[in-house]
Amino acid sequence: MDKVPIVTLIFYSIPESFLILSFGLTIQKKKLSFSPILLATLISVAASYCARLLPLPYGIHTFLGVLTVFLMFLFILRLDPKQSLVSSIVSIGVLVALESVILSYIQFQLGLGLQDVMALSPWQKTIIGWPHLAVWAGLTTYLYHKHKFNQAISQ
Amino acid sequence: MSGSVFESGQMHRLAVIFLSVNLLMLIGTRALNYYNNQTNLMDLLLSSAIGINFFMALVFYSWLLRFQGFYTESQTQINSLRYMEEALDTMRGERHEFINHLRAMQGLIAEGKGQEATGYLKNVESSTLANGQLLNVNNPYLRSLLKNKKQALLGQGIELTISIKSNLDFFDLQPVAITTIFTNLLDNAAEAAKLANNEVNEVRFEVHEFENYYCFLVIDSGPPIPQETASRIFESGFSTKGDDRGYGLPLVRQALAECRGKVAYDPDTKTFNVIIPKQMPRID
Repeated sequence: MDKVPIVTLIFYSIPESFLILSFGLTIQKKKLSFSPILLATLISVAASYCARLLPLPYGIHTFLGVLTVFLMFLFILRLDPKQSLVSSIVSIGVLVALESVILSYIQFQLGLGLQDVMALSPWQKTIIGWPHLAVWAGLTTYLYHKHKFNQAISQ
Repeated sequence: MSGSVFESGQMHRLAVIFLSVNLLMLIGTRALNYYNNQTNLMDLLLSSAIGINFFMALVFYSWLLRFQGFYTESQTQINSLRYMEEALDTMRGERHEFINHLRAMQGLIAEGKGQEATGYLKNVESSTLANGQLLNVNNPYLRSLLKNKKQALLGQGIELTISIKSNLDFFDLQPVAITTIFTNLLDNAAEAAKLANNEVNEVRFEVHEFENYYCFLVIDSGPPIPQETASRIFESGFSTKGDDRGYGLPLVRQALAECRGKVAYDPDTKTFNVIIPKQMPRID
């Protein structure tokens, strides 16, 4: 069980969820509309918050996250089932891959294990996740604008 | 390349399995990291390797997609060449027929039979009206499909009447979607028309243009679809014609959904209505 502090919820979980959904839409070359993404973000953050309250082993909530994100893509962001499946796997995969590379490096430098990270103060726990979110935000923005540029020159 | 991995959903399934396995490896590594609760150099290297492996899997996936794009494009070009060849054959046939008509009329005029020549000309005009209308269709795939379908149905004793009240300037559907939608609807209509055993079996294809969309109507001279059947015709696998049937109309609906189009059946007029939004040129 991991009760997510409100600071982490607002400054980490919501941006993270927003990025998961925006990235999923970007790789499917879809237009990003703020309102539906925000709605899906709030629902998936609420679902993730509840899932973390359950006494599940570490890692299971990630699978629940894939399922929630799949449902958000399918029902709120209106992707077809195939696109929703690929987008949810790729988005969550990129998040965990970036965590594996960037967060692991920070943990190595600070000499912290993952359980130590979870036990940090709410603000520390939030800030330690920002570097990989920043890299991901940059990647999503780059891909989105690259797609828009390609669209513009193909017309 | 029939049965190639780039056809159907095989490539998609392969990619999903491939990415899922990579995701499992990532989550497994994070879980190990969590339960070890330490990050030494080996943990860092393992985590980084698995993370980078996922990005490499993504690059491979995008490479596969690009390759599939090339494959689809080449298939489309082969199909379009085939359509062009068929269209050229049709035009050669029409030219040959036209010369024959001219000769016949020349003969009638030379013999001073002006009245007969006028009657002959009217007959020719009515028989070539449909093809004349087809020439107005700007989309070469739809044009060829209708021409070929008209000839094929004529061979089965079915008259395909075509009425096109638009030149379809803003009709920009993928060739595959055009084939899926209109081949299925016209084939279904032809089957229904044959069932009726009328003296004249007829299928009517109409195109109407509205402000923001096109409306395509497919009407047949067969009996109407009963109400209870009509409510299920778009369900995948539902058919009253036997096993391994009932996939055409769901495919039509799916192809239309991809271009924000719709299809509906009206039992009162025995008409399949297809609505396809106009694809306006974008102004940025």
